[in-house]
Amino acid sequence: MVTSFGTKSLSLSLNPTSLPRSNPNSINFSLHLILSKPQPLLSLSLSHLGLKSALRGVSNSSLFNETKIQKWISKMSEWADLPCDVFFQIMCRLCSDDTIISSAVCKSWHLLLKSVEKLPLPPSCPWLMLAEESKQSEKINDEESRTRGFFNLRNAKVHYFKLPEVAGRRCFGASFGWLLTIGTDLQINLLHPFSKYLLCLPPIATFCCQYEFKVTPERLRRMFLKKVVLSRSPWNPATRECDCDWVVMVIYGEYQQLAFTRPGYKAWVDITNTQKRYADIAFYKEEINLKIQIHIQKYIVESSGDLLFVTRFRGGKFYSRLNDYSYEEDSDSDTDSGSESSDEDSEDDFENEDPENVVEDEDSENAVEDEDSKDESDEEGFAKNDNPYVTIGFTVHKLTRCTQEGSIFKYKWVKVDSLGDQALFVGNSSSLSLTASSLNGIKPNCIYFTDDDLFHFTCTRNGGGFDMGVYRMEDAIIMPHYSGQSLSFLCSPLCARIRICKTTGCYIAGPIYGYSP
Amino acid sequence: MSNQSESPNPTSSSNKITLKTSDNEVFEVEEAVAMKFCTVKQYFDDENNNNVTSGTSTTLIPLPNVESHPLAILITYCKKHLEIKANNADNKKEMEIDMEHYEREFLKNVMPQELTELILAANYLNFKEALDFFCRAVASAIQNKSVEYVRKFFGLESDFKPGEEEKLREEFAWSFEGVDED
Repeated sequence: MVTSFGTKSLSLSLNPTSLPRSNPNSINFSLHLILSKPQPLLSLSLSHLGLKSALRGVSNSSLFNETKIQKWISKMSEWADLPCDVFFQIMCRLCSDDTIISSAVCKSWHLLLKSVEKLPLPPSCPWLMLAEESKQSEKINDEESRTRGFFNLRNAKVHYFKLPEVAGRRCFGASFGWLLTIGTDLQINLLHPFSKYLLCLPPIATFCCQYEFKVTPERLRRMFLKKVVLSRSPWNPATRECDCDWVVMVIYGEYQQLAFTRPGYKAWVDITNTQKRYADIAFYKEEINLKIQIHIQKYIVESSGDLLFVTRFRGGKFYSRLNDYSYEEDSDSDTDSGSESSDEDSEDDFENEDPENVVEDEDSENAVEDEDSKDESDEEGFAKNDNPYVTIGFTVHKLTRCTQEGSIFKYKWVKVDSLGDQALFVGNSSSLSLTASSLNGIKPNCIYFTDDDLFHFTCTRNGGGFDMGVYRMEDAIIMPHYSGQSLSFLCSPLCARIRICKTTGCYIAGPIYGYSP
Repeated sequence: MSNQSESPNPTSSSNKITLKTSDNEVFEVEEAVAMKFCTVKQYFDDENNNNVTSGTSTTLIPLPNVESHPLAILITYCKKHLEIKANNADNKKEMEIDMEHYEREFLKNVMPQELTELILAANYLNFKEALDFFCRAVASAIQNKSVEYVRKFFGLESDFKPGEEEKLREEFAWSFEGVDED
């Protein structure tokens, strides 16, 4: 018998001549094999379910008359495995809310889909968490009914969920579906939205380095943290078990330093390092990787075992002066291995940029004053764009072992032209790479990005969040993904990941960029 | 119904394989086409191993789980598939575009009920490309559709106890919003 399950196929030859004839034993055996490959717990009970639904399907189909139904029933053992097998093949190609709809079709489908968590379904698709709607923030008294929009990238639907926990708070995408929120109370929480699991982290006051000048809580809420990553999920929503072996690390403060905390800690602990101005951090092979910031935004992403280094180029009024900036040097720059003291070499490059950074900020403020004047001097072809800043491109480099003789560095960054089947997600959450072919609707070889140019949010008319979209690596074209407007001075859209949680039967969403395979 | 046509793949041998469906129709197909059906291939290979010396390839392969109607469609699809593959042997991208174009045209002539039949046949024959294509087609057909539509599409009826379905709909109210009714 030959059967197939998903992309895997098993060939099992029991008795070659038995093929044309019905052989219940061989069928059951092969069924057990297909199902036992992903998870050895499903066997006959599922085949009965599949059989039932399939039979119903046949009997109601206009194609079959009574005698044919009799014939089918008499041969039912032969194709008992088909519907359930095929059913999952179809379901694998749907997005999560379509599978929910399917689970309401009939009981057997419902039961089959409830076992979905155990089956090798692809990782669920990222969602874009939209900015708080300004109309809502006016109704301050009505906090309990605050909802938040989530945009499904796969089917372009927007769903609204009650999320009073994030109302008026600045949200960061951590990893594994968690949000880190800061309010004007300066408390920091880790929230698992939808399962509503909330962890309190030490407040802002417990960081070693505070701002040197007096800053309003509103400004602290908006500016204090820059990036958040989690080493692992503090709580498993599927099993409802807590895990106490996690670390949350942030880039914070005026100088964008690093600090971490873990369960039981009453304060944030600084990572003392002479280097400052980190742009992104990621956990890679159980080590922390760091990037030094310059105003060309950088991200580091772990992608199927490789460490990728993504550079985001921005244009527009605020950045028009930087368009001449040549970035070629980076492709050759060697760096140390990904440890805490990495990037000695790059650091020199980046620190030189600091003075320019200051100048550039002044420049942006000037740009606000004449925002209405349309004299764009953008050489990159974005002259029509009214936005003060806009992403114009990306480059990707991969960390590879340095084979060059005599080099004092163990690793170097090599430019990557194609991401293959991977899609990267970067922005104001921890960065993430997912396999596109397993996510119907997500395009391969693309970079999905959200707006994280926090420092310039205040310079915009309606708030930040417009600078997001999809960048195609193959032809360097940027396309929008969310057609509506979702702007906020406080918290611009960020990507969230959603997946089925079996035990509660509810859906959970969280920031996407930190999903770890 | 006997199916005979030019070999879609010039490099393939001109050996014919005879398939017999459950409703006793006989199909004579090119070996290249039949070998796409892994179930047939497996049977064929085993048969050949058993009769190495006989050298005959006129074996009649019975397919008791496949009716003539879906098999005829599958053979047409398979031939076209091989043809497109042969025409664009050195250009994968071209091939994908051609295939996509053909599949779009193909779906215009297929009824939903036929699709279910085709999936069962493709699954039995273990014809991976077709199975993948049909599953994609079904998935896109029920994507963003209402529960009622999906039921109609598959010819299923609700067997939930009163209240069960309502509870489910309430729990996941968000996913039932904004779907197409037909």
